[in-house]
Order: sequence, then C-alpha cells, then structure tokens
Amino acid sequence: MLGIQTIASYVPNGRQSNIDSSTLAAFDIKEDFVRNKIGVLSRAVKDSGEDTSDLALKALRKVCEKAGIELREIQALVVVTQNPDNNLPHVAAQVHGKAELPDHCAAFDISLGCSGYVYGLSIITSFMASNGFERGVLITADPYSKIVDRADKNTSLLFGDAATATLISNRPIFAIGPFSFGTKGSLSDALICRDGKLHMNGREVFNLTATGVPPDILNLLQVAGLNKDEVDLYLLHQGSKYIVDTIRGRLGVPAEKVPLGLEEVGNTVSSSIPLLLESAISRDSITTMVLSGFGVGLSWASCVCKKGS
Amino acid sequence: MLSMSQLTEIVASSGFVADMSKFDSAQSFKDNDIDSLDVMTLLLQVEEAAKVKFSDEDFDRIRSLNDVHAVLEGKR
Repeated sequence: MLGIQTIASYVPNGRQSNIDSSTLAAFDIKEDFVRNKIGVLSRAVKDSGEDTSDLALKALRKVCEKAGIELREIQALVVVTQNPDNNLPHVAAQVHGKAELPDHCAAFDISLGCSGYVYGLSIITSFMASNGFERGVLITADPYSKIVDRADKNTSLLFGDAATATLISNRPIFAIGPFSFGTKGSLSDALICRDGKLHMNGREVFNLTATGVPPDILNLLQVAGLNKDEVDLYLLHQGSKYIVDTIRGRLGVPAEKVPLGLEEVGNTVSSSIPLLLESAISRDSITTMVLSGFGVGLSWASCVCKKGS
Repeated sequence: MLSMSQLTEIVASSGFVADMSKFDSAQSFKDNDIDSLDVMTLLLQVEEAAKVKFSDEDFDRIRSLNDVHAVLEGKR
C-alpha cells in the first residue's frame, strides 16, 4: 500500500508586505480588507537568482533529510508546475540532474495549478503502483512571482512562492483516496497567462469555486462513507481567506476544522495544501482529512487522507 | 424573476449591511459600505435565486441594487 510518508517544504525568506502604506494607497484599499478578506499580510517571494527547479531541489533535499533516505533511493520524481525554468526541458529532469538522481529514476512534470497537488497524489501513486516502485517524491513548485503583474489589483496581493516535497512510499503514515476530479474547460480563460502576464477573472473563479467545490466534497464524503463530523480537518487550497471562508460556510463545517495558512506566505498555488498538510500530519489527534484544490483550468480535485495504511 | 423586495431581502440576509434602514438601493454598493468581494457573493446569491447567469457585461453595468433589478428585468 502506497501513501504519504512525510512532507517537507521550502519557503523563500523574501517577503513583500500587503499592508504597508504604499501598497494600501496604490490599490486604494484598507488594511482591514487585506486582513479579513484577502487574508494575505505578506507574500513569500523567491530570490531573483532562484528559479523553479532551485525551489524544487531545496524541498527535495529537505524531505530526504527528514525521512532519513538517500537521494539514490528515489524511483520516481514528479513536479507539479506551470512556471518551469524553460518551456523545455521539464523541471523534473532539471531537478533530477541537479540532485544527481540515478538514471533509472523516472521524472516528469504535471501541468496543473491549484488542483495539482491532489491530482499529483493520484498520479504518482498510480504510476508507482503500476511499476512496482516503493519510493517516489511529488514536488510542487509554481512561483507566480514570475508572471504576476505587480500593478494588477486582482492578482498582485494574492500569490506567494514556495515549494513542497511529499515522500510517497510503501511505509505510509497516511493513506490517500478516494479521489474526485472535475474540469470546466469552458472557463479556461478565467485564469490565464498571456504574453508572460497572469490574468484572472475573479468573479468566474469565485463563482465556480463557491458553487462547485462544496457539493464535490460532500459527494466525495458519501463515496468514502464518511459524514462531515468524522473529518478532523478540511485542507482547502488557500486561494484567499474569502474563498476559504465561503467554501467553509457553504459546507457547513466549523472554522476550527478549516485551517488558514496564507497570512505570511500568500496563495502558493499547488503548494498551499501540502504546506497545511505538513503541519497537520504531525498532530497525533488528526486521523481523517479532506484535501481540496481548485483553480487553473478551471479544475478541481479532492481526496480523503486517512492515518494508517 | 426577483422583485425589488426579494433583492433587498437577499442583501439583508447576507449580513453585509450593519443597518438596513440606512441601505439605499440607488446608491452604489461601495457607498453602502459593501466591498467588492461581498458584491461577488451577493450577485452569486442573486444568480442562484433567480436562476440566471450574469455576463461580464452585466457585471460591469451593475453598481447598485437598482442596477441588479434593471439587469434582471432585461433578462425577462
């Protein structure tokens, strides 16, 4: 049985404030709005000398150190990103080279945004199972600082840079599944990078998320034979505090079961769920979680994550 | 389609307005102290209640609750 053994992360030290006077004045907003609606007080920003593969490599090294395994033991390396160092090669190959992973290690990227971690968990476990692999690493590294227009009020106060690495092995602490996936390709223009700049139709993203994600999670719970109260934590993609609060309200679950983790780092795209999960899996009292990511595509994916193999 | 009183009830039940006696449907949402994110929620609730979909053009036209009513009337 394959599942999550451990998670590590790399969050760059650089920070840009959302509540300094010049930012508030530039966007004609109040600090109260930033704190209580956007929920991002500062954004993590990578160093200009770092690229996506560098963030990914740092997360990879940290997860191996945390798990006490050697890099040469990794049989599959999967990177979730839509902001690679270059259009080609794939980031996973660059990380493979920098980490000097063995030649027999499979390495490929997954092109997804905020739903990418949950999709990635399903893809890597299926890939490993079908090939008899015992150790693989799922990396998320999608630094939006490369594409955000700093003058765009819709996006410039939201996104932060981070990378995570999840060790999938045959010695899991948490089992994953069942899964649920969805896509609304007719709204793919609502979150799009054109000419190197990110554009977001916030209303379309909000509407689809608010109306689509809660029923998707409730359906997943039914498939899993769980009721809402049996879930200890709902780890939702940290799009903004407002969207997390909206989904929580529509799901009808208490605030203490829906943690927020974007205050000091921002919306880190596919890294937001594993960043929450990294701290959640260390808590003994947590046995059952629901993970749900949604965004670029527009797409969404949810899964159950249960302690034990 | 929704009447003006039904639209006002949606605003009242949203909790976005502290004192509904001071709410002016002719004034912009901003002037009624409803921020842009809460406007998105309100319009989504109207879409769900009226079973309509506001286009981006509709959304651009809407500044006040009266505008919402006018746009809905245009969809009859």
